[in-house]
Amino acid sequence: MIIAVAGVKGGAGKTLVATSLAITMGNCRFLDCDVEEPNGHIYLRATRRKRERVAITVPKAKDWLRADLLPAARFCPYHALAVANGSLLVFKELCTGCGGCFMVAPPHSLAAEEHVVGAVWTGDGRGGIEVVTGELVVGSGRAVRVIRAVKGKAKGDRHAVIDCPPGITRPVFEAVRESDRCLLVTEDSPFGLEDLRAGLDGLRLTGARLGVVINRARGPAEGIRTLCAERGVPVLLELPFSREIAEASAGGRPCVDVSPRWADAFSALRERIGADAR
Amino acid sequence: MKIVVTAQGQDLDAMVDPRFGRCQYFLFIDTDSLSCEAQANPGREAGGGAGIQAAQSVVDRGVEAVVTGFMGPNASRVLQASGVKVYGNAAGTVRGALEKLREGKLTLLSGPSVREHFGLQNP
Repeated sequence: MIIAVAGVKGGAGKTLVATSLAITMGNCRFLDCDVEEPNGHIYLRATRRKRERVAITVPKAKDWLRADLLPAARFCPYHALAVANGSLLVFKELCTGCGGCFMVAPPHSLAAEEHVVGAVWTGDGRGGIEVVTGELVVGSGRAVRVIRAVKGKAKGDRHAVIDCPPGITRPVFEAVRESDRCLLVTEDSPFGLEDLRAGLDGLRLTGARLGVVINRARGPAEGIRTLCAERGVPVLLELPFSREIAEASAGGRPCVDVSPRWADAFSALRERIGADAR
Repeated sequence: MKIVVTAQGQDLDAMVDPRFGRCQYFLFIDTDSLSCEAQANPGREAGGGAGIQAAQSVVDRGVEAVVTGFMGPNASRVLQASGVKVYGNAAGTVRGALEKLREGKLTLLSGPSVREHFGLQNP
């Protein structure tokens, strides 16, 4: 079973839920797809065994051919190419690696060049968890490529927990797609409620079975519960606004280590999801 | 001399558009006859790479110089590679900018004068 942990509002507790759920499940695979700021490995105390580069293929002109590359430059939907004085200029940071220019340009007039956009780390965390972490090169816009590379490490042999980036942007859909379950973590606040509404309506399209985790609950969280009832999505776990959980998170300790009460709460979450130990 | 001026309107009395990549119009002007042809900037609504697309469209028309307010790094790279002169810090009407160009009062840029996304952040 693949369980994606998503949520629109940043800082609502996605990594808290994803890491504690992974520890509760044990022997699973943790896929950190929050590639702009991956930090799940800290909570899972993961070593880093292997690093693989993630690269896209960008075009490079063979200037000596004097080929007409203007049609290829005009074709590029990302405006990553220009022709100046008969030479091709390549703006690698705009290139998505779609390969369209290779099809439009005269045959063999472009060479292929690798452009590194990120890396995937594989390592071992506590409780037999394999931790796979995606890291996007700072400033790069190719998050989807890195997320795809991370998800390529998921095989059917183990349950997987995916820590998603915040929001409901294209990278989030890449992180959630083909998951069996998607947990939306929200906080008990007006921002959390509105973002949850957007998240439920957007991530419904992934086909994953949705569930909600309410974090930092200060009371009955009526607005969130009413919304969930309207959308027919169950609230699977509620964590209170708690200083001790916040302190643990800030110190790199997972929520399940704070007290047996939260370890039990995550065990109940695992049972509700139906991901039995393997 | 055949030049292009970034403008907010379609004639010589329009205001200079300070942005290059996301300007509203390009005015292709012959500085001797003051003939003027307006063309909507194809880069204006681009999701990304506006400066590159705008610069390519200007280069393709074979102008000798660009007159604008500010120039970002990507557009600058295309124009420099094409050997097009870039005059920055233009303001006021296009007619006034042409006057300043004639008097040599515009700044000849040898590179970008603003960072990327300037035109998006200063609509």
